[in-house]
Formats: sequence, C-alpha cells, structure tokens
Amino acid sequence: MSGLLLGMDLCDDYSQICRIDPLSGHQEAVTLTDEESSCLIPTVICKRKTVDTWFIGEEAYRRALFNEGIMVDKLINLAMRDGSATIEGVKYSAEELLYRFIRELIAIAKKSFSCDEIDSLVFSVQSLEGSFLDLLVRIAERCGIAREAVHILNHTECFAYYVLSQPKEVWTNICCMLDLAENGLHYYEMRVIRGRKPQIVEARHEKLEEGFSLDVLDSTSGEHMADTILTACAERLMDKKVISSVFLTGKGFVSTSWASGLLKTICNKRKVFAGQHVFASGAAILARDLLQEVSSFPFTCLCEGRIMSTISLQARLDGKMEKVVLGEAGTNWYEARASVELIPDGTDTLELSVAHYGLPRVDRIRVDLSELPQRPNKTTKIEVIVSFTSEENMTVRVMDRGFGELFPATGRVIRKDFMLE
Amino acid sequence: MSGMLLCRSRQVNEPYYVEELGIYLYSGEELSYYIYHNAALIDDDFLGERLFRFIGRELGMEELEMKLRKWTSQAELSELLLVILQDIHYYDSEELFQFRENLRAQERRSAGMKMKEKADALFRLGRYAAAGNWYERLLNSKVPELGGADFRGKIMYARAMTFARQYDWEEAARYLWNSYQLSAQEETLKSLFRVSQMDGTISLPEPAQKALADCDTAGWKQEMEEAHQAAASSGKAATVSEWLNKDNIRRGYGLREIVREWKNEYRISLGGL
Repeated sequence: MSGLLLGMDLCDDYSQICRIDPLSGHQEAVTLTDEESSCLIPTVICKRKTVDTWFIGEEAYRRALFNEGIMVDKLINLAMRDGSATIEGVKYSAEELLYRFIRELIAIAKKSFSCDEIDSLVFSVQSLEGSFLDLLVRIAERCGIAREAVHILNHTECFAYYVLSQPKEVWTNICCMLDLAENGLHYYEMRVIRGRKPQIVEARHEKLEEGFSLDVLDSTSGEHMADTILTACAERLMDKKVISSVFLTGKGFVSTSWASGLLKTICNKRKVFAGQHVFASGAAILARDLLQEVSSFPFTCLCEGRIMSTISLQARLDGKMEKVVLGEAGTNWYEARASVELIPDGTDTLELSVAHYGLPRVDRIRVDLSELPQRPNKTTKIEVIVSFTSEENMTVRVMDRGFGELFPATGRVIRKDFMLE
Repeated sequence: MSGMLLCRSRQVNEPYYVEELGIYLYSGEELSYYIYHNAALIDDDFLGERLFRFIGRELGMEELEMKLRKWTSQAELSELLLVILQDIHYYDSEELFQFRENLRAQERRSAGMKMKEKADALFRLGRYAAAGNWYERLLNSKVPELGGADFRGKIMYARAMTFARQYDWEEAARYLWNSYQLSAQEETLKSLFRVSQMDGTISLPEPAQKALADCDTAGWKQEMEEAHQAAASSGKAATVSEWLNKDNIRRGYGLREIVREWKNEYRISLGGL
C-alpha cells in the first residue's frame, strides 16, 4: 500500500476528510489551510466572477462575502434532489458542483500528505439513497479513483466502526451518540451482542424532533434552553440502559460549555467523549480495514443500510448439495450484489431461502423460469443476479446464458422484485 | 433428481473444438453433454492431447487429466468416457447407468452397425457430406451385413438422402433407384418420385419410369404440393415472414441473422471428415 486511505464525511452543512495511516492506524483530519484549525469544512462552493476558478469551504464564504464570486451551498441536498444551480448564466448540475467540491477536497488531502495516489476512499453520508450513491461513485471515478477502491457507508455504520476501533471498555455495554448539527439533532446507539459467531453489532439511528437551529447558541438564554432540551432528550433516551460511553459530535458540540446539565446527566458512571471527527474517522477506519487480509472487525453489523436477511439457494456441486449464499445479513445493501451460474435440472422454478436475522422463520421465494426458451433438460445455463435497491428491496434477475454453442443464449432476462419484511 | 446444478465459473481461454459438430465447447457440462449424446461419433482419437489439455488447463481438473493420461493406453474408451462423466458430475448416477448400458450395447454391435450408427449420427447433426462419406465407406467395406439386400438397400437409401440434402438430385435419384432394386420398398419409390420432381431435368432409367407409372404419383404430387404450402407458413418460412413484418432496422437485423444461420448450417453440412 502506497496510496492514501481516506474517509470523507459529506453533510449539507459541513464535510470532513480524514486520512488513516496504513500501518499504525493513526487518523489525521485534513484542514483546508494551515491557518485553519477546524477540520469542519463548510459544504459550499463559490465560483469567482468571470473566471473559471472555484473555492470551497470558508474561502468560498469569504469570496462570496466580498462579492468576488457566486456561492452555492447545501450541495448534498441539491445532489439528492438532482437539482442544479445557475451561475453567471451557466447551468451547473448538482453532480458537477459536488464533483468540483470533492475534487478540491481530495486535492487538498493529496497535497497535505504529499501523495498522489488513493488506495481506498470511503464516503460517509447521512443516508444511503441509490441514485445519490451512484452519483458519488461516478464522481470518485472522475477524480481518478478506481470503482473497487470506493465504498459508501451511512453515519450509523461509521459510528459503529469508530466505536469498535476504540478500546473494548468503551463498548462493553451500550454506546450512544448525540449529533447536533445544522440539519437537526440525531441520536445513535449501538451494542455488541456476544455469544454468537461472528458477534453481532446492532446499531440504530433516530432523528429527534427536538432539533434546533444552532443560532440558538448565540445567546445565554438560548444556550440554557438548548441545554434543557438536550438534557430531557438524554434522560428519555438513556434512562434504564446500561451505557458504557456517550459521544457528542456535530457543530453544536464544538464547545460543550453551554451544556452543563446535559453533561451532568450523561457523565453518570459513563465515559463521555466530544469530538468532530466520528463519521470521517469511522469511514477512514473502514478504508484501511478493507485492504487488510483479515478484517479487524469480525462482526456482523446490523443497522439501517444493511440487509437483515440472508439470501441463499441450494444447488448441487460435484454431486453434493451445497448452500450458496447470495446475500448475507449485515451486508451493506449498496454493495450486496452476487451472481451465480446454475443449470436447472428437472425444474422450472428457482427457489431462494430468506432467513431473517433473529427470527426462526425461513421464507421461500420462487422465480418462475418457464418464460426461458424451451430446451432439453439441463441445457440451459442461467445467471442469477441478486441485488438490492434498499435494505428491504431485493431484485432477482435471471439471465438466459444458453448452453455454449450447443444451445446459444438468447439473453432473455426475467426480473422479479421482492420486499424483504 | 430435480434441482439446480452449480456451474464452475471458470473462464475458458481456449475452448475445445468438436469437428463433428463444428462447434466449440466451453465447459465441463458441455463436454459431458457432447459425450453423452454423441458416443457413436467418438472413437479412440478423441482421447488425445487436445482433450487432456482442455480438461487440465481450461477446466482446471488436473486430477482428471492425470488419470486420463495414465489410463489411456490401458483402459477401454468406454471406461474412460465414464470416468470423464463421473468426475464432471453433470449427470447423476441413474443417467450414468443408462449411458453405461448404451455403451455396452454399442460395443456389442458389429463393425457394420457401428459405421452405420456413426453415419446416422452425423446425418442427424446436419453434417451431410461427412455422413455421406461414412455411408460410402460402409458400402465399400466388406462387412458381412452388406450381404443382405435389405441392409444394403437401407444404406443406399440413407446415402441418397445425404445427396438430396446437398441438392444433388441426380445422385440422390441414382442411389434411390439402386436402393429400390434391393429392397423394393414403396417408400423408396415415393422418394425417387419426389426427387425427380425437384429437378425436372433428371432422366430416370426406363425400369424406374415403369415402376413409377404403376404408382399413385398423382396422389404423391398432391401430397408434395400440400407439404409445400404448409412449409410456406411454418418453420423457417414463418420466421422469415415474422421478420419481414417488422420495422426497417429490426427486419435487417433479423434477416441478416437468419442468413448467417443458414450459411452456417450449409458450411456444417459440407464439412467432411
């Protein structure tokens, strides 16, 4: 490994980029300039007037403030809506703007660490939405990063990876996190279920209704009100739970001096950490782990964005019945894609088993193959491709691959969508 | 046994060419299928370097390759074919038992019958020139079966059919008349009549004309016309008609594919062994 291993957290208000050392695992946040100490980079872009020069982060704000350029903010939201922005009469797609933003971030990381190669890049985003994820992959490829080196996680998964990378006493019991950002207040919780092999990590996320604008913290009375709100939230969410540690993150927790009530509540026999780099670090930790021969995280992670069922089928190999797993519970749905080549023998139905995590029930789902060309028995090879459009929606495609030149393929495809409940 | 067979997803760089079929085989399953359904075409030459390399290097079955290399000079062809089928696991034990029985029956057959079976198999595969060569070889051989008029008549008839499939009506008519003289089958005369109708320039020998004059040639002609009419709206003609009714782009593509297929069939039919 000679290239950079990066984690990049993309949020509507701030983004972060974190580099992890391939050997020591030490993480280091990237700042835009030497003067800036904060690793929080505003997710904004500004085009300098009449010139094709672009600025990002605080510099973009400054240029816009001095009327030197036109700024576009909320780039993530814009991209998720497949929106666009018109600057000096030119319409820029959200993808184009986000590409320029990410390209700049990567360029800064490369410059900071004097390295031109990227071996692994993991994006961290609030939620995994199909078209947005495709967009991120396209952008990464435009930035010269190979598809297989790009991965995308949601915040819950990044939180879980970050916590699991900490000493064991941090996650002996439940771990919680409050993320106070411009876009709202988010609560994360995770626990490791022991006694199973591999061990299960259950993580969840909840957007709390009690979120407020961070402008509230500009006044003493506002700070008091915010503290009261968060204290009530913490009491409600953490009551009667055996919690080992609590993390505080987000722009709202850059300083915790205003949250004395909250700290008093959560510091009750628990470890409390405040930091701004949980998601970017979690992503960077995975970026490194993906390149290891043996993962440092031998866990099955069950959380939003991960499929909750194991999809398999039975087939004969060398005369013996084998279980072929096409999707395993705990796999990121965006990356859970598997294909297998089969030859139906005396059957025109493909049967898949769906074993739901935590339930004794195993469902059977069937795909009728009678639409495929009629040929003698065992002379049709089919490729079964299982993919997901969310953690609950599975697509099964069956493609006719024929039987070599003896029975040429027609390329006919049978597609079925299933809802995994 | 019903269910699904899991394919070995190994990429084959150099497929195995089967001259008899004019096609390439890309997997162990295809190789098994070829052996199972075309045992009559397979002789000792099949177990050669080309096959061993395909099994070992391309299919990644080095153990099977080693076994075959070791046993080729010691074991019977049929036993080695069974070893291949067993190791690839495309056929289950019941199917393998059936294959073994067929091989045994084949082995018990006389040399003449074996030659006929090979020729028949080539004919079924559309390799008419190759089948014709084998029928000719059989007719010129000294196998005892040829002493019987019935057997010789059958081979003559089959040889005539190979000419007919290659549009050589004159030769087809000659062999059909020879066959009729040996077996005196009305069906042969009927075929002779049809062939003569396909090419009006053929001059049949006088005895053949006489024999046909005593038959219901009017009825046969009627049958032929009906068959022509039926053929115009079914099979390949129907496929062509379907493509002709499509838009310009699809029509062009479809018709090109059909012509390509016909050309291929024609090339295969001419391939001699």
